[in-house]
Amino acid sequence: MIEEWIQKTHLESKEALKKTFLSAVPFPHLQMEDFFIEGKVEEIYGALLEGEFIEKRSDLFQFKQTNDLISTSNKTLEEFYIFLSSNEFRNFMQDITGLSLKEGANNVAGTLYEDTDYLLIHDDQLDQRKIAYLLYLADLDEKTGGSLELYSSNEDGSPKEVATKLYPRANGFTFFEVSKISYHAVEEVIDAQRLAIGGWLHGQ
Amino acid sequence: MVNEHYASDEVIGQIKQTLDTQGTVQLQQFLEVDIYNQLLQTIKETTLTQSINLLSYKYKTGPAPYLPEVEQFLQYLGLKVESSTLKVFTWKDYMLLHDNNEQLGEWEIMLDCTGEWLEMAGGEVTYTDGKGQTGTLPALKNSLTITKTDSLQRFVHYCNHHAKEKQRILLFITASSN
Repeated sequence: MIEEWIQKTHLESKEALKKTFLSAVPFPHLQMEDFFIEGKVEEIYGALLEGEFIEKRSDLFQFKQTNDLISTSNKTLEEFYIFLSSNEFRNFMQDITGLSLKEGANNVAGTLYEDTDYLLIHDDQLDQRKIAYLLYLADLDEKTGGSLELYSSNEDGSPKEVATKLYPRANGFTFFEVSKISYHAVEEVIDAQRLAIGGWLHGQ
Repeated sequence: MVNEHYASDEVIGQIKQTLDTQGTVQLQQFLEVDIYNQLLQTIKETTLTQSINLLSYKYKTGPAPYLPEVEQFLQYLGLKVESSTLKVFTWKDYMLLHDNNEQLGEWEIMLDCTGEWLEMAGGEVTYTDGKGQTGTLPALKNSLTITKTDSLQRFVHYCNHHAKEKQRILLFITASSN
């Protein structure tokens, strides 16, 4: 099943990916390009855009989001959700991260950031979240903003400054370890669309 | 001088009644134009310092200008000023709900000294009871908003790129009932 989703090159380089993940600064993360099999991402992109995005706005964020894909009636998104929930996907992520993860997808949803949308700094710690992941469905750059900003930490554990900016690439798969120092933010988007599907894997 | 419209006993009574029933009131064109312009000039000459706690807020702050007219007006309403602070927001600034450095008092009075500001630039001030939003205030120059805040929290929305070089200038006053 996993070969039907993830590009072979990634499946065959798990040891190298693990080293990259564990040595990443400011905290373990990985950004992989051309992650899913050609054709799958186009289908997901089309399916996601057919659905409804609900405006979300609080003191911390402003963006649009679909309902949890656990309840999707779209066949393509349902299949994708089943894959993200699978034992094979869990094992793949365990192999790369070295973390003990629970099988099953959690709070998987599409997100759409448009002009002025943002997500301010936070650590993602909630429930048993251990890995946060994102499949990007759009290309962004320094001009459009929308990067995933990873913050370094001070000795007291508080966030210090942006250490790494990860710009979305269509069919890029990015994930990071959730911890008390996994401070991150989504940079404000300027005159662009940042479409993605994100979710979490829980720890054992 | 406060706009003379607000100086009559009748209007003061109406404001008190509104505060009793609704807990908030917004008074537009609050200061006389010359006083307001003097205030803006004072603020312009004020030295501001950057105030950042990434998980809670990012803005510039400075000493609040002394405004005896406002204090006197609030006294008519039965409110005693306890403290005041000047906060200036520009692009990428914000203030979240959990600003632990700041406990709202019984009453909060906000004098909006923002100049030209696009509504799409964000920076609205929202008071919430924690169960749902109770009121959002977009920029409105020379407006005075009085809010009973003893059970409310407040945040300022992120100011986005449409703000450009413009400033969202807010004078927050904490007051108690006499």
